[in-house]
Amino acid sequence: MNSRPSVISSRRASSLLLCLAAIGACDGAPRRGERANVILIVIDGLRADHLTPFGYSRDTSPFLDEMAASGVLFENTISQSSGTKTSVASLLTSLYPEAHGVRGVKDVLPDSIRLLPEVLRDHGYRTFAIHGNPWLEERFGFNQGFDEFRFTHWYKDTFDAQMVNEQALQWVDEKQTPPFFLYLHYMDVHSPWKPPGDFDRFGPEAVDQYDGSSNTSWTSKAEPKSYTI
Amino acid sequence: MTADLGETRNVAGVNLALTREFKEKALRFRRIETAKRIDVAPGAEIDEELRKQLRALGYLN
Repeated sequence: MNSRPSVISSRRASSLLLCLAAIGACDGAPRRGERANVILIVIDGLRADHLTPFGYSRDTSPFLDEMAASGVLFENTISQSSGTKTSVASLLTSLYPEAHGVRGVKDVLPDSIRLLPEVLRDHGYRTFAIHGNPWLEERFGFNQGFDEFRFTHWYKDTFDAQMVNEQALQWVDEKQTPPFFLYLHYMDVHSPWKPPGDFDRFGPEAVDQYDGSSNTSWTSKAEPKSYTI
Repeated sequence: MTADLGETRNVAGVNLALTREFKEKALRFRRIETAKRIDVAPGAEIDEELRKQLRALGYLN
């Protein structure tokens, strides 16, 4: 992806999600008359104050550092909730929790509320989501507007950042025709933390394991791959 | 917040007038936003499989 990314970070103490939005098109920046592809990345449980672009002392996020340096970094955004379900409902509807009503365990997003993927699909976008958080299951209405909505509970060994990336890129390769909207929801930094291999290097304490989990394949330069999106 | 980064002290009682003002603003905000609700969906069923998945993430304990 060659276009400039926008980085939106939730920095307040109550924030538990970090979101990145990237807009790009095939072969670089969109040409006149073309609609840009849109990729929404949510990293569940990631604290902005444990990332080097926000001044953290440990080198937890070299790739995000590069994105922040070349893109737009929002330093003062506020998550609408400390819980994933309510936060993502606000993220996808542009409504406060009191307005969309998704605040409790059983609450469901009503069909009458338009979600971002519904708006984009109505404008000709193909829409794809992959996540590993049971709070976002179809039964709660988060699949509205998605052509494909994949869920795999993250504690299964097969669900990690690498798998999310591979499935998303495979979907892009299969669909070929832009424009598309991807919603990628990562769970590697959500507790219980289990940083893989080389990333288990900060130490044995909880904060060390957390920092190691932050530094997994989507935030590091490990195993770089080249894709045209 | 800079003087108490961990927010360990409850300062609500230090300035009651300010506390009251903030509370009224918050309640007004909630009333306005709640009034925007256009629909309420029936609650979802929480089955044992979902409970198991949520517990694995540290919820519902």
